[in-house]
Amino acid sequence: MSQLSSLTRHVAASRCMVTRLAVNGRSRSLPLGRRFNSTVSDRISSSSSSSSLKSNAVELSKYKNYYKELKQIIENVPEDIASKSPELVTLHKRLQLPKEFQLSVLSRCLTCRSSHLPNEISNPKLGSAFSSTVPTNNLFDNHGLNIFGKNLLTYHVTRKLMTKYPRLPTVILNAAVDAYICEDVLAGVGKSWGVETEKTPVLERYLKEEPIQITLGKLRFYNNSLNQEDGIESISSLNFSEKSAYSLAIRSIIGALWACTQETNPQYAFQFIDDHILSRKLDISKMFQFEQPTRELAALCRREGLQKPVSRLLAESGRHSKAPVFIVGVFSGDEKLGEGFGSSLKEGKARAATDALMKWYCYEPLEDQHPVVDHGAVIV
Amino acid sequence: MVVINLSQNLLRSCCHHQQGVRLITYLHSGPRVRGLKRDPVSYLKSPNGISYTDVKLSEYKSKVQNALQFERCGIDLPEGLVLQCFTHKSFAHGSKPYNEKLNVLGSQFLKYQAAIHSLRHKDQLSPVPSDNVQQPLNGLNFTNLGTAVAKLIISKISTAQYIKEKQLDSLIFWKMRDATKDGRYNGENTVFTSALNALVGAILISNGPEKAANFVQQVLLNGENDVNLVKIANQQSQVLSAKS
Repeated sequence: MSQLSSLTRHVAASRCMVTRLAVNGRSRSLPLGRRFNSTVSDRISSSSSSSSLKSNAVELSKYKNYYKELKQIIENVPEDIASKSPELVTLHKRLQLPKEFQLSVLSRCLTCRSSHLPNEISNPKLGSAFSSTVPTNNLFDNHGLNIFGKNLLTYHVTRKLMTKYPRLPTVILNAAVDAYICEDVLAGVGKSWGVETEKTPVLERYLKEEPIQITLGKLRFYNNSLNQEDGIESISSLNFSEKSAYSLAIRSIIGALWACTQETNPQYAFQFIDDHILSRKLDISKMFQFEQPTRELAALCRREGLQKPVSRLLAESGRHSKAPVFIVGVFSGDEKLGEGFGSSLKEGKARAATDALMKWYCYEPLEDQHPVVDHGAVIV
Repeated sequence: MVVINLSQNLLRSCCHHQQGVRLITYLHSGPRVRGLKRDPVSYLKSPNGISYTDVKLSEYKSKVQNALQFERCGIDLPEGLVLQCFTHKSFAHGSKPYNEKLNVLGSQFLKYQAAIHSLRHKDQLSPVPSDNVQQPLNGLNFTNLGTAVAKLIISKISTAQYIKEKQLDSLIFWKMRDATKDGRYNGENTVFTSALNALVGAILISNGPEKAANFVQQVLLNGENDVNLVKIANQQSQVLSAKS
């Protein structure tokens, strides 16, 4: 239904545009698609004789051939054409991908399944849109690669985080994994890799005489020109955003990297994740928020068989002044668990308990230590 | 009716030297009374009536070990860790070591290994429309990912069924939401799944990824075994297609 309604909206919008065209004349501020519409009609109107009609027909058949060739190549990218694409070659070099990872596979990673949709949603035959991608079959898109890449990413990031911080509570662990591999972050990574999106309509590329291999190195997803230029948004239940397309591409590159190197070097893909995803800085301690730190600490001590935590005042200054400071330590027997300060005893006590809990949950074992298995977070 | 029985084991005293105060704690067993502390013996019991404190760890471990053929992959787990894998968070209000995070890690690893299994399967696991077929890459069949059977292999229904068929469900410590209602209401499948996933996670942490991968491929996903996840998934998909 949503597809239908978006289609009708597009058609209505294009009708509206035609009337605007008639009223305003040929304005330079028109959207690109319309401008090309007018160029073609210029050519038609300027030449009234039958010979020019013939040349138009030749022009049209040339465009058809270009379109057909583009479709054919994207359905199954040949390696020799992919190797001519400057974007693909530079991206391959920049990411230091191995030789086994072919350029055609890299191009496949950049083809999202949503790029096939414009045919259905905004039919170019109706003149409602000038899509920047061509409808193809699903043989050579990144759908399966993305699923596998996501599996690899979640597994590896979770494992690394759990090895580094074995005692993180599950919610914090999940939030931390998300902070490394959520859609927004991956989109940022994709942009930093210099991946560009394909925004030029096919017709415009044809008029510019752009070689077909140029588009192979760009991210192809659902992005027809109406969306960006007329301020009209097509509404759909599916996520066709640029961010999601970027994250699909990143995950697929990781999935394809595993597929290409699994026989020669199975650790290559994981090393790649370490270098590009886990190398980003994440401050775990900022993710915590305790509601009842003293109670939680008491429950923790009870579970771990430690003596009851006792808070003691370590130092103070200016008790009767406007800005008093109390330094409180929390002890279990003779062992000091944590220390905190505050302008009241209560605040100092809460801070000390929070400090003790943070030291427990954010514990990092040494690298050559025996693996630590946590007993689970305390339930208050 | 509350019967206050001051028997020896219920009356515990302890001395706090610092305060010099003598404390007596009364632990209540029997029907719940608001405000009274419960005797741990009364709640440290699995739904099958096994007492957590009386578990003989070596016996408990060997049961799990034999059912899941640990020797075949050269796996050895500490006894306490096996018990932790089979203890759900709901048990004893999380006061005993529980399997929540091992489950998270194990489920990710199982998903990854199951994806590899589907990729290496040359034929389609379940029928796919011809326009959704994808070109294989390096001999790996990417069409299989995301299909119904590929998802069913690691679904809760299948993994819980695996635990039941291996008769390990009686060993799991958890608390039912309502003991008078059926397993579906109590979320039985989720609890059983967490136990199997946690076991995979524990093997991964203590024995390393090679042995864990071996365990998943040889024991859980191997079609030659009497009970395996692929067989269960195929059965489930038949049941589902018969329903629809």
